[in-house]
Amino acid sequence: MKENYNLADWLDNKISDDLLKDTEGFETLQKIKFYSAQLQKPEFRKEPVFQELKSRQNKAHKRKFNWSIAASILLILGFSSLAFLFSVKDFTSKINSQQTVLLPDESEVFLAEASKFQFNNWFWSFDRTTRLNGQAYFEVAKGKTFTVKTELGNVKVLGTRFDVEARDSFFKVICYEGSVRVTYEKEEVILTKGQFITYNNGVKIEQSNVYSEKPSWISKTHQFVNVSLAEVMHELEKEYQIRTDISNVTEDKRFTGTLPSDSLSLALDILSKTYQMNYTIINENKFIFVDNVKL
Amino acid sequence: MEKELIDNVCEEKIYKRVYDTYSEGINNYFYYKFGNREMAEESVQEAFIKLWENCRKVPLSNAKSYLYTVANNLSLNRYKHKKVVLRYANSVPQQTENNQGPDYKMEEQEFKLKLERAIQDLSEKQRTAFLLHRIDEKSYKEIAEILNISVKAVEKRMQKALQSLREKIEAFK
Repeated sequence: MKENYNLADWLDNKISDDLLKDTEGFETLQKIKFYSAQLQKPEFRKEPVFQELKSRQNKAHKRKFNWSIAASILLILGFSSLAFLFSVKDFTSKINSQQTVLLPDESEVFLAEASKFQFNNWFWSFDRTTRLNGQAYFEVAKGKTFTVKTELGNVKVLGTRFDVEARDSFFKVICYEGSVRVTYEKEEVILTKGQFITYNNGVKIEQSNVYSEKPSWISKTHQFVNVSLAEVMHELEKEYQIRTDISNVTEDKRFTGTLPSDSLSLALDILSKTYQMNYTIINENKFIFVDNVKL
Repeated sequence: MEKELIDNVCEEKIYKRVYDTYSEGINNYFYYKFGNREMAEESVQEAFIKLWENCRKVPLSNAKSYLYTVANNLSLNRYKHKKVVLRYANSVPQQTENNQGPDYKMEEQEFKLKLERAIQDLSEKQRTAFLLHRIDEKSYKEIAEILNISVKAVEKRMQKALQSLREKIEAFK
C-alpha cells in the first residue's frame, strides 16, 4: 500500500484544509501550522563568523607555508651538503711521483710524493680551506685567509709561498715569502720569509732559516696534459719570469708533454718543434714566436 | 572570461558570495539539529574552509551540495547537544474575528510555549526537517537535498513530526 502523507502535503499547502477537517485533532494541527510559521530564524553572526573563518584560513595557510619553507630549507641543506660532498676534490700523489694542483683562484699546490691533498671546489670562494696529509709546496694567490689543515697542525696565510710537511708525527713548515701563521697544538708561531719550524712528537725541534727560493724536492720538470699553447706559455712565463708573444702563431693544437723547469732553452726548443714555430729573442726575458714557414 | 570568473570559487568575491548565500542555511540546519549555536557556527566555518581548500575542484554549481556534504560529515563531538531555543515573531493572532480578550492572549502564549517544548522533544531528524520547512521555508525537495534523503522520506518525516507534535501538545493539557 502506498503511504499517504496527507499531513505533509497539507503543511506544504498542496492540499486544502477541507480535505483534512475530519482528521483527529485538526484544530491543534492548524495551530501548529500557523504558529510554527511565526518562528524566527536563529541568530546568525554572519559577518563575525566569516571574519573568524578568514583568520582561521590564514592561520592554516601560514602553517602550510611554514611547512613548505621548512621543506625548502631541508632540500637546500640536503642539496648543499651533497654539493659539498661531491665538490670535494681529492688528490693523492703516488710514491715517486709529484703532482701539481691548480686551485680555482690560480693558487698552485705542488704535491710531494705519497701525499694527500683535499679542497672544496664549490665553496672555494667562501672558504679557502685545504687539507693535507704528507708534503706540499704552496704558491697561494692573494685573497682571503688560506688555511692548510693537517692532523698535526694548521697553517694560515693570506697569500704567499710556503711548504708544509705533515707525516706521521713530523710537522714542518717553511715560509718562502711573506709570512705564515702556524698553529701546532696550542702554540702559535708566525714565520716570516726564509724561516722554518719543525715539530716531532709534539715537541718543537727547530726554528731556523732557509736560503733557497723553493723546496729542493720539487721536480725539475713540469707536466702538461691537453693544454693550449697560451696556457703552456703562461706557465713558462711564471716559471722563468719571462714574457712571450704568440699572437702570430696559427697552430692551435693542444699540448701534452713534459717541459723542464730548469732549462728555458730546452723548454722553448721542445715547444718550437711541437708547434713548428720559430722564436726570436728580443732581450734576455722577452720572446716572440712566429710560424715556421717552410720555404 | 566572464564564465570563468563566475565559476571559480577560488575567486575571493565569488567565495564571499557563496558564503552570503549559503552560510545562514547551514548554520540554521545545524542549530535545528543540535541546538548549539557555537556548534552551528563551527560547522559553517569547517564547511567553508574545506570549500576554500578545494575551490579548484568544486565548481560553483556544486558548491551548495559540497558544503552540506562536508557539514554532514563533520564530527563535532566536543560540543554538547542542547535544547533548540526558538523565538516567535510578534505577529497577529490566528483568527482576527475571534475573541481577542486576555484569555485568548494567554491561550495563545500557552500554545506557543507548548509548541516550542514539543519541537524540542521531537527526534533530531523530525525536528530538523520540520524547522527547515517552517522557519527557513525550504521546499521538501531542498530539504531532501540537504539531508541527502528522498523527497518521500522528507514527507514521511514531516507527517510523523506533525503527528508527534499534535500528540505532545494535546498531552500537555
